[in-house]
Amino acid sequence: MNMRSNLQLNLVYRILNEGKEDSNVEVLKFFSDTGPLNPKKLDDIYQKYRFDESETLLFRTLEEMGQFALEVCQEAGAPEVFVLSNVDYNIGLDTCNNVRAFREIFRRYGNVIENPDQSRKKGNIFNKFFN
Amino acid sequence: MVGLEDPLQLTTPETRDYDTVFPGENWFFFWRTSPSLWESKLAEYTGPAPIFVPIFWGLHSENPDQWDFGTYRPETDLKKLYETARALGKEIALLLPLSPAPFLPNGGLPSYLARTLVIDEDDLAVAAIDNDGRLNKLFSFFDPRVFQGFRTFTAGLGRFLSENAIGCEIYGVDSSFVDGNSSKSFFDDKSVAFERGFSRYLVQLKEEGSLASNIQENSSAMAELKHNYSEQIKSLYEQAAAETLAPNWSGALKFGFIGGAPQDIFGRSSDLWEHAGGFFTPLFKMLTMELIPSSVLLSPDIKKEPLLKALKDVVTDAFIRSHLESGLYEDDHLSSFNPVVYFELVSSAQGVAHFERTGLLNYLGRQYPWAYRSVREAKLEQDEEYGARTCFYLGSELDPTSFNQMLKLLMNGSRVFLDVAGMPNELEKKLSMFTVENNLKVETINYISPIEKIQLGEGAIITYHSDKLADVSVIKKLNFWETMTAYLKIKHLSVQADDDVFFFWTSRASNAYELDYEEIRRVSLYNTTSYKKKAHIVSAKNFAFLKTIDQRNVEVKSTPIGIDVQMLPGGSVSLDFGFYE
Repeated sequence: MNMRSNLQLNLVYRILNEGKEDSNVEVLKFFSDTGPLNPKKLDDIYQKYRFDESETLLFRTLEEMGQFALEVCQEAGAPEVFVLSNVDYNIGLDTCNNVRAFREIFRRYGNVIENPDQSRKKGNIFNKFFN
Repeated sequence: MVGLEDPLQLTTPETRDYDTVFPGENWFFFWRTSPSLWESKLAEYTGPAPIFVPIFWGLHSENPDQWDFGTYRPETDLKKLYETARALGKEIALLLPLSPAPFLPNGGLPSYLARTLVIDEDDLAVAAIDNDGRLNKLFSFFDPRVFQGFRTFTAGLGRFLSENAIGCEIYGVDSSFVDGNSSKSFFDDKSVAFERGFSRYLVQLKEEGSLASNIQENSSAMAELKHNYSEQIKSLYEQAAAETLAPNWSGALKFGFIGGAPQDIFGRSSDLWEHAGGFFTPLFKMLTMELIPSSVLLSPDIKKEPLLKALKDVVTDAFIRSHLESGLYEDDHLSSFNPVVYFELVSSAQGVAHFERTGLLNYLGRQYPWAYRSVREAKLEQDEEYGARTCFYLGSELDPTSFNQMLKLLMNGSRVFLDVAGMPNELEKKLSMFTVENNLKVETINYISPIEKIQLGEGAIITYHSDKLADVSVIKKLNFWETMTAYLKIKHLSVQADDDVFFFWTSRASNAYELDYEEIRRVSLYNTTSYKKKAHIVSAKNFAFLKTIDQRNVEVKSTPIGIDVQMLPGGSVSLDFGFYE
């Protein structure tokens, strides 16, 4: 995924037509500390979730989007992805006054999806010390 | 091309790097330093004139009923600032934000009015990171309380200026950013404040009987209404400023803030992400959009060579003067380097997307990078030179006024490319009538689209149907535009450059020592990468290589087939060519 594996991933989404039958989830931003994720790789992973001709990353449900985020996280070898709705992003942004605070929005207001592969790796390190 | 064994090299004097009070170009953020230092800061300043002094509403207004212009806090003393600058012989111009300003805390609003965040098209709140790493959140100008407060504030400011005989000019600032191939104002907004105001606007239209009953179902009609509403509210701010500040008011200017686009916040908040190379495209695109570029949001860490040189090359004294509404500087303007403009694309903001679809922007970007302008209208100046312009019009956007403007350009010897797809029938008939009545020569060919050339002296209208271009390949579109523009016989030097080497052209009239030439063309090249790169300027008739300027980490070699430029990481150079007929 063209990124350092210890970097955090962040995803911002919004819900379109909320509360209606045709409600969808749209990914607005998906990036790491080093930049936007490779669109080609994202598109490859997205193919199995695609349900229309939309040019954006659109999902039927939040669960599907979460599953997609996890797959991207695993492919990237990142430890976790912070998932944040546009509403929470806006609330978080309202509390910030500088870059440092802005960087914390995702960790403070987002939901974390951990990469189980990385968690196992962490466990193995501790095993060496404690077993 | 005249090859020189050892071309003359010149270096323009280095100006000092300014600190936080001079965050970029000619902008002076006076509130960031003690008033006791204003004199020394202004005295040291040697950049372009006039010095832009933003009016920070929030600074002068801590509560709704009181303005402070130096009565209580010395850092708000505009009179002292004006007199200090005057005593030093420095010209200042006050800039009054007419939209949320990304370079000011709360977008410039006093904290008691900073209530509703501006929301962008992605439903995300808008904020910008400034040159000191502060996050400036932008608040909606659609809140009626903001407008009322603005009007009261500008009236207070007007009284203060008049009572203190402060005679400097005030310009309104519409803060904008680059979004794809068009510019967007920070004024535009999807916030609750906007939606509430828009609902009231719809009710008003309904009461007037000027709203179709099924309008809510027509998304494009709704988008147009929203745009109209937004423009109306924006004009109210400008009117309020023009009325209350009449003796000093000099009109509104559009500034583009590099690094200020809403999406830039994600990249700029990470040290590992931000890269100066990414700011070159917005900088040059701003030129094509008639925005005045400003780098005040960029930190000194980012504003290093070659970006620094590019900013100095673009935002020159003459460039700034050319945007200010004053004809006094015409001679200065001609004798200074200004961006080369071969084409004007006359359209609305939506029309720009149309030019994109037909492949025109792609073609111009490849063949004449940054040498075109997107304009809302192509006005003909009274003393304008005959046959100087090439304009692209969209028939679908023409009305009787712009149609007549187009004919005036034709009669003045300009070349007009007219897309007749969607053109109103009455205007098509009018064009036919004009052709017949004036007995004009019409040539017709068919190449991808039916093309008609209507000639009048040096001038011509060349019509085409963009519908025919819709489904053709990119190559065919490029070929189409190459064929169309070949007729213009534009005298231009072609530059072949590696990826991520940016270049742009400026020109000026020749002076008394350069009588062999009609004008001097300057190409400035910048290697934005950390790799070695090269560029080649292809030799052409009518051009002679004169000299290199500001050569930095670059080797220039003149050969019979052109100029070879080897560029080390971050290298930059300008090359001057004399142009003669």
